[in-house]
Amino acid sequence: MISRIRSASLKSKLENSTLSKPRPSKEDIISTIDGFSGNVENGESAPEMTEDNNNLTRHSSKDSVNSDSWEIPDIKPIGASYTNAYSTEWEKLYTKPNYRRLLKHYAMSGYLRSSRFRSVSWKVFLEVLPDDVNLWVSKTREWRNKFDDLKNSLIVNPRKAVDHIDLCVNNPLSQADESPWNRFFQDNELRLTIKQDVIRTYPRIEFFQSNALRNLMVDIFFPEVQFFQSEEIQERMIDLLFIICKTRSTISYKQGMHELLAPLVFVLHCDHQAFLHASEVESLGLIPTYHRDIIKEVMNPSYLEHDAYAMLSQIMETVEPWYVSKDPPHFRGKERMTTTPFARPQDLNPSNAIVSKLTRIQDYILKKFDIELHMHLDRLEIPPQIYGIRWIRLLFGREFPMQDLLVLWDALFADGIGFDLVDFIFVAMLLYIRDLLLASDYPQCLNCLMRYPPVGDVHYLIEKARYLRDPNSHPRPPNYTYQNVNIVKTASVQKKTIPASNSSIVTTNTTNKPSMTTSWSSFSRRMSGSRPKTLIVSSDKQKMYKSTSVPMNLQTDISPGTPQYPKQKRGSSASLSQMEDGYFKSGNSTPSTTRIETSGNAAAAMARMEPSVRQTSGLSPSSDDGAGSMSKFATLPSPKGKGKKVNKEKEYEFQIGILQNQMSEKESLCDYASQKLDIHIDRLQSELLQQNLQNEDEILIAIAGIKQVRDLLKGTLKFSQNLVDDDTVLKTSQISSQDSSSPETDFSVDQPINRKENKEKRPEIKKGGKMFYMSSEENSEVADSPTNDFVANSRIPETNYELNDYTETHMYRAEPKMSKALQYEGKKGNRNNTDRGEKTENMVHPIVQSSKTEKDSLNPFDSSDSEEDESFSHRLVNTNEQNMNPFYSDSGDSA
Amino acid sequence: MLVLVLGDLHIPHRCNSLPNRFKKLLVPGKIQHILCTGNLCTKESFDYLKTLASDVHVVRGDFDENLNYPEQKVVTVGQFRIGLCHGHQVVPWGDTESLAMVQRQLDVDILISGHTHKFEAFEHENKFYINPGSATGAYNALDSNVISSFVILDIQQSTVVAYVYKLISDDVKVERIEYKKN
Repeated sequence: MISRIRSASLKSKLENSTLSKPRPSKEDIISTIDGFSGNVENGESAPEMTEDNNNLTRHSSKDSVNSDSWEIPDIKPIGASYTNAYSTEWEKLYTKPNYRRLLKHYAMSGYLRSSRFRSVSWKVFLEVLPDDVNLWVSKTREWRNKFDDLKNSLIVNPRKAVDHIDLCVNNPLSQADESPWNRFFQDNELRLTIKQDVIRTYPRIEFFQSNALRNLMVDIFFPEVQFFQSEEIQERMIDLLFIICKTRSTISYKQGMHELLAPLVFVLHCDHQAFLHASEVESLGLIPTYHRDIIKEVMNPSYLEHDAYAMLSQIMETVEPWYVSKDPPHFRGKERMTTTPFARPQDLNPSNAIVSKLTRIQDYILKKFDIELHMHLDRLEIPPQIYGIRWIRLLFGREFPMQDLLVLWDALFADGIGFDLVDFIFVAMLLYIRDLLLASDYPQCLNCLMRYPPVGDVHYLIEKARYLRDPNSHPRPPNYTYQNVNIVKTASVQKKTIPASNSSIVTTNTTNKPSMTTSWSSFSRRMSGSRPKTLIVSSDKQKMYKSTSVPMNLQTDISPGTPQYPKQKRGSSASLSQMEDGYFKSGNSTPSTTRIETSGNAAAAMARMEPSVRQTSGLSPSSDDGAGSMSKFATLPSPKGKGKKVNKEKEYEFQIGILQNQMSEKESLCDYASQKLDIHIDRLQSELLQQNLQNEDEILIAIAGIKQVRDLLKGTLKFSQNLVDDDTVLKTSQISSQDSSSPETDFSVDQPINRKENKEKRPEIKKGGKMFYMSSEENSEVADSPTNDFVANSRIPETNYELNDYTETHMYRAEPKMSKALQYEGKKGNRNNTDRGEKTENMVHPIVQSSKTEKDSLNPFDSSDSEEDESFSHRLVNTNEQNMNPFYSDSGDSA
Repeated sequence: MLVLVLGDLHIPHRCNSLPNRFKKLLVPGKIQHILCTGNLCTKESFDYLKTLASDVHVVRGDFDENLNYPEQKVVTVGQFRIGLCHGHQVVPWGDTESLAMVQRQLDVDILISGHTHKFEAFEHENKFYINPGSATGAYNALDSNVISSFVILDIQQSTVVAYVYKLISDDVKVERIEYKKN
């Protein structure tokens, strides 16, 4: 939830800051960021705010080409608590002429989360209520009468049975079929079965209670516990299920139906309570009389059973086949021989609807989207019915907490009575935990599947499922995967121990952990999801075919002879949404780090940018970061010689955890920066084209450089040593400081004091840095001219995108490009190798120098005087030399 | 709530078993309690009753092997106090006034007694008296022509409906008698 608020608000803020005002000032950005962080702090307590933000988002996306195909009117906050909210909500939801489509949109987007008319919406979706609001009263009555009739005819009370039946038949011990007593006893057996299940409905709530960590959840669930424990509700549920079973003779009662009913009853009950409250407050008066009558009729609390029956029976229409289970035919002797040898159990009994459905999901849909996971499950011989029967039969009722489940059902029902979305949500759920599954063996996999890990944002699954079903008409959601908050669990699976950084991982559930795609196909698919748009809109025809191969893009970008022409459509909200996608998928390459919500850092980085030079200056912090944190990582083993290995081992692990966190943080920052760059480059270009400048070439070259940096940041261009220009000269500076910190300081990375410590300890750790330098030297070639860059880059398609490599290369690749761009931008015309060489030679006092670097990093391009310029260039040298992570150790806090 | 009332089986002394027609009617799962007026005679009969319902109350008849059964017993079912007594101690056997004495002694709403092997159910001074007869139709000391019978009590709040099952010429006849507590 929080993450959704965050993303929504961030999105809107971004749009706000980048779109609505063409040139936002620094103050604007800072203020929006302030508002943003405030919103996050408020968290769930500020639903109105959220809705406003959503509203904003929708509003601004109206004029974009790629926005939703139909227009969405202003959405006022649902669930606000002002007095006439109830009537307003009703008006908003059901009085519009095309309300159903709107309603569907609300449901799909999760806006019904706090709706007080959810039951009504569900009824509409489930076709219990017709589209025409005017018919609701009659239809509702029809359903209720039907239920009453059924109840009267099906629930037998032999004692009330009339006397005119012969006593030989109508007596307690009679076994005649027509005897009411006999029916009574038979029904009782069924009711007993149902009762057993109903009593146990939502036992997991007790589980939540026992877990101290989830006190919050308990608070949410507590009323619900009592709700389902109350005798009256149980009786009603039993009656209801009994009638359902009686009317559906083919399946009778199957375990699981009660789980379908429980949320329905719950929603109805909540809505009824809301209605009663609204009637007390008399906010109903604001609704026109006609609609008030409808509400009163539809919301009548005394018809809870009736309405629940209507909804459940509609659901059962679709779900019923999934409950039919035929006993597998017993093979004997010869028969057995006819079956295929080595056939999987799910293939043997295709007559079972649920099994064939599950098999289809796993063998067809899952295979299509994630063959690796499919193979993994196949290899472990985990047939989908082991876990999937429950998932599907209960419509995921057991996998999510109630509030999330309701949101999920909103979407499920809204999607259509056929519940097609179920298959894709199924797959989306699997994809969500794919990392966990891939890293697990059989028991762990099963455990994970049977007890689905908590999902931070259930709405993501909906988005994902819709995307999976129809990639063309739905935006690709970011790649979330499951994050282990639980360290105990994590340690076994992923060997990361981050005990102290818990505070920063509070939101990990909701963040995107990189889904590691080892297969090239899926990688390119993901990339092409965002890349081709960039290319196709550009006027360069050559790029049309190049768009298929992602890295090729760079060639046109770099080559100075063909400076890019403005892509007019970039910078619209279409590209923004894309940008946000990119932002969230950012951590693509972190193999096993716990990703931290990076928005704070990104925001901080943004705050530091001067609007005029944001494209480039935005990079500087991140490049510094990389240098800092990565060298820390590199020099980590250095104190090993001092002994006490055993003691230190834990410390190391701990530090690695922190460092990995930082790394991933920086990476996402990197990605974010690249996206921002994208937008601003376009803006810059379009501006430049309109003006006739004297030294246009220089500017264009600079832009080309910036683009290269952007590609590096994006990861489409792989970094290689060839890209590091002038590095032969710069090597001399290896005696100079290493921008590294000792492990001790890692604990408090986010505190400014830390910087001093870093400086003091740097000289000690020089060795480690050297070592890394040596290894990187093997690759290094002199590549001064852009043409050389071009050659180097042309190797990119061979790039190895395997899991581990990808992380490193990703880190390698971003940094030197930045330096290049900085050179272009920061000192136009002063791209003289020797000149810089001299400067670097002067810089032999590491401490002094690095302190300067730090200053510069805040705003390197404002520096006009030469000394600072020098130190800046020297810092670049350092990063080149270390050849490591492009990130800066204290990016988040310096703002 | 269904309560089975029966007694005077005299198995194996005077009869070999319950009539088959009765056995078919008596199936587990329907009856909650069994009140037996005694003269089961053997433990096997008692075990059979146990298969029909877990809650079996037996008082001692004059032919019971098990001497541990109590002479009289009071069972509370719903709102009713039900007294149980075989009846051979009450002289004259089956006499209303004598039974009324026992009823007062036990302070019960319903008094169940047996020994006469003759079905009877009547209200006397607002109390309900039931004699289920002999379930096997075993002869008694005075009469060899005995109709097999037992009673099912359907107890709902303050109402008792007694269903009387009689085996008349190999045919089960059912009668229904209602008693309301006031």
